[in-house]
Amino acid sequence: MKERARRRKARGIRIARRSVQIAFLAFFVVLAFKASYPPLQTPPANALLRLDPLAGIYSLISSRSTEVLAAFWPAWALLGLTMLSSRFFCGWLCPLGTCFDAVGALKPRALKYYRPHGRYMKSLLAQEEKGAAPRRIRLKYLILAVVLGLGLAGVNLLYFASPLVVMNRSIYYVLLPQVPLFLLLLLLLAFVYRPRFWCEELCPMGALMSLVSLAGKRLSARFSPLSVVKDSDACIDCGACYKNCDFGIAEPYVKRDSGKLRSADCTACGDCVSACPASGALELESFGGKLHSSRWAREKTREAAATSSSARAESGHGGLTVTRREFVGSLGFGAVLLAGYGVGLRELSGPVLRMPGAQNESEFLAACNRCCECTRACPAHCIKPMGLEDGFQKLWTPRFYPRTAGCVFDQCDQACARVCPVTAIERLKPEDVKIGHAVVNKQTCLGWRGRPCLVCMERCRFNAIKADGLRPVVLGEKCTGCGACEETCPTDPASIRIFELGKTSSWPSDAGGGRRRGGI
Amino acid sequence: MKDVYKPDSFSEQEIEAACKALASTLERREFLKKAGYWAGGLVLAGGLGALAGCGGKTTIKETVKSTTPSTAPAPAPSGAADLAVAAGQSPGEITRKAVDALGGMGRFVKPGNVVVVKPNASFMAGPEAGTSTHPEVVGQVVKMCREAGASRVIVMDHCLRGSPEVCFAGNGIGAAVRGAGGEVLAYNGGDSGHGVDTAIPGGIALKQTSVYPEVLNADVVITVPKAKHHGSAGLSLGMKNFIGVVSNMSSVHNSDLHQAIADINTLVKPNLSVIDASIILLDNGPGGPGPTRNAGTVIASSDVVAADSYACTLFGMTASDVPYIVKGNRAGLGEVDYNKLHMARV
Repeated sequence: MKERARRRKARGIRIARRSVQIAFLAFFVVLAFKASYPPLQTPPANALLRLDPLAGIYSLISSRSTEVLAAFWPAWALLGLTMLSSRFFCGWLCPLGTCFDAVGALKPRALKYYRPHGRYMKSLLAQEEKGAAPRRIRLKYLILAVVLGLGLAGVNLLYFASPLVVMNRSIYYVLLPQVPLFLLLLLLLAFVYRPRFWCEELCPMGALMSLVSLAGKRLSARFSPLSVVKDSDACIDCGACYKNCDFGIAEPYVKRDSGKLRSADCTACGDCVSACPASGALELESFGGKLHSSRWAREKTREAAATSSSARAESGHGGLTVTRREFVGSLGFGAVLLAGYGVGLRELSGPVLRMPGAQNESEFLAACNRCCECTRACPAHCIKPMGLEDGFQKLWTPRFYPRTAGCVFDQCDQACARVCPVTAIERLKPEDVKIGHAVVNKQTCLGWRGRPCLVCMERCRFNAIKADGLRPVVLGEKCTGCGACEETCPTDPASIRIFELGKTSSWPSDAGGGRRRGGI
Repeated sequence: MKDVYKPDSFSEQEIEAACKALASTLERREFLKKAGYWAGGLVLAGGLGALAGCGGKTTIKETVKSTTPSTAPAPAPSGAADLAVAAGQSPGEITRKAVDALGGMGRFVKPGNVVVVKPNASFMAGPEAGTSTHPEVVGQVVKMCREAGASRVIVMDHCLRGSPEVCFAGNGIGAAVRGAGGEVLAYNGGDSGHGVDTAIPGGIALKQTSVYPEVLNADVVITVPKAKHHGSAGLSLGMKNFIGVVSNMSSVHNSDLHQAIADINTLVKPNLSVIDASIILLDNGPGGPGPTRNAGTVIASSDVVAADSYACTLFGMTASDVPYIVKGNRAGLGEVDYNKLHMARV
């Protein structure tokens, strides 16, 4: 009877949570789709990417403008809610978390051997019993420190660190279609190890939210849109709650008093509530009201409470499980990384062809999240994420490939700049655009070899190519580097090419016209 | 405290036992069920996204009735000219005069025919720049086709500078065609995916290329070019205009350009050529900007070579200065000496 009631409650929570998760994932996918040209205006296609407080902090660091502060209002709103409801975003909304849950559910039960929390928790609880605060290094705080530290130094690591960026980029890759390798790696980790391993131990966005949630941990559940609330009188101390917690939170078990859970990592996913066999001991509440199954509340019996023991561990719990020393140490670690990585970045940041309005290379690398929103928005599909050909720093940054398609900045109202959730791409007047400059390879050009062609001149929207007889001549001051000429040059490889500004533009003397990177 | 904390609940044996129990068929079934829910949910999410993402897009590719184009020249009604040159300052009016002098559009278009009109609409500058066919000329041709009973009049070109929508809006042809009851079919010049690989039996330089299918399927094909200077071909006229029905342009430029133009005209033979020489571009063609001259002329002919040949005179040139016209004559496409034709000046 009681078990049936518990199952009913568990089912209610599961259906509610899965519906919210799938709905949000669908919304995320829709917005990712809607970034394609013309990008959606209301709600802006990049709205969900601006939910990312880390991206907001990064943008503030790189731009120092109040406009950015205002643009990232979803992130600040999320942080505000996080103060009230801890990491509910991770449990109920995060699209990456939803994928992890899906992977976890798809794993055959026979292979599920991931509740290492159980044994690990034993030692932690033993420590608590001795009155010592549990010591547990949480890698995510270290990663957060490193990510923020490098962010201050102008090195962007969000392309690995932000779940929203990872998801958005992966959607782009899936649509290409290409394999989103990094997402696949994370999903594999979730499958092999634990579904929420990333969220619990690695995710710096989660770490930031954990930290922020501490600010509101003493607020009553009455102010919280979503929280897990414990009634210690009904608790039977069975431990089902933390055995079933994906994040290994022992708080409901060791907590003595009733009220809202304060653990910084609690995602209010309700797994503990679903698992709790004692009626009324754990509830998901919203502003003080129960979220589910009032019938269950009515059936609430307190008989189990009688067996409850009053002896509980009293030591501190639910806060940060990282010490000051560890935090400072990780900052130092970040500084060392920063020195190495930052110096390396400056060494390697030669110019790359990018969209109009991309700031100078090092500023661009600092600002760009590699979310691939711009590549989706481009009506000409002329920008694509880079691979590792220019090193790790430029991985997944958008590169302009004029041979694939020329840039139509004068016709698309800079769709890439409009959808960029951060400040990587500046809005420019069309007359100010200068992406690169076109140079003719006189050895391979049909016109320079005396044959009628002049396709480049025909295609140039800026009248930057003049015909000298049959020979095309580029007028440097008129050329915007839009690449229409390179796109349509009938020779293979193209005999006219856009070179990066500031790079020595010379064709190789062997007239091969092959891919040449950089000048002298 | 031991009684509160129950280490037994985490024993290895328990975990093993649990694993075994969970591996039972029942669990497997539950797994499948769960997998189904999740897969369904994810597919739903993706599908919603796909729906939303694709909703706004429209492609203007239409299926066209598949018939062989009529290659036999239309018999001239008695008294009708084979080459008509109309002069005047209203491009629309003189277009009608010129075609009427040939015996009217009914000579070329029969009721129920599907007509493809191929103007020069690749550039977005308006008629004063002399880079695209005058919208009044195109509109008048479309109107005459409709009057002759054409079931559909498709005006198609591919755009060389920027997006087709912007292009057809800028040169005014889009609005003129829609106003006259025609359809606009605008391709992006950079896009070669729409063409159909077609062999050119009479081809000398170009044996095979990719052609937009609408042209191949049309009952009647009318070329409505702008007479203008062209950097590589010398002049851009009626024959040259059919480069615009080829989707992979590099195949044309990589072969002998002039011969390739003639070759394409053996594949796509226009039933009627209406050359817009109202404002002609004298230099820096085909895209301009360049010097223009108000020639105030429209040339219409059932013979594409003769029409081109006559148009050369407006530039102070002769057909021998434009190799593709000579090669077209050699390929039997028409008469290069327009004086041999029955000519009418109106």
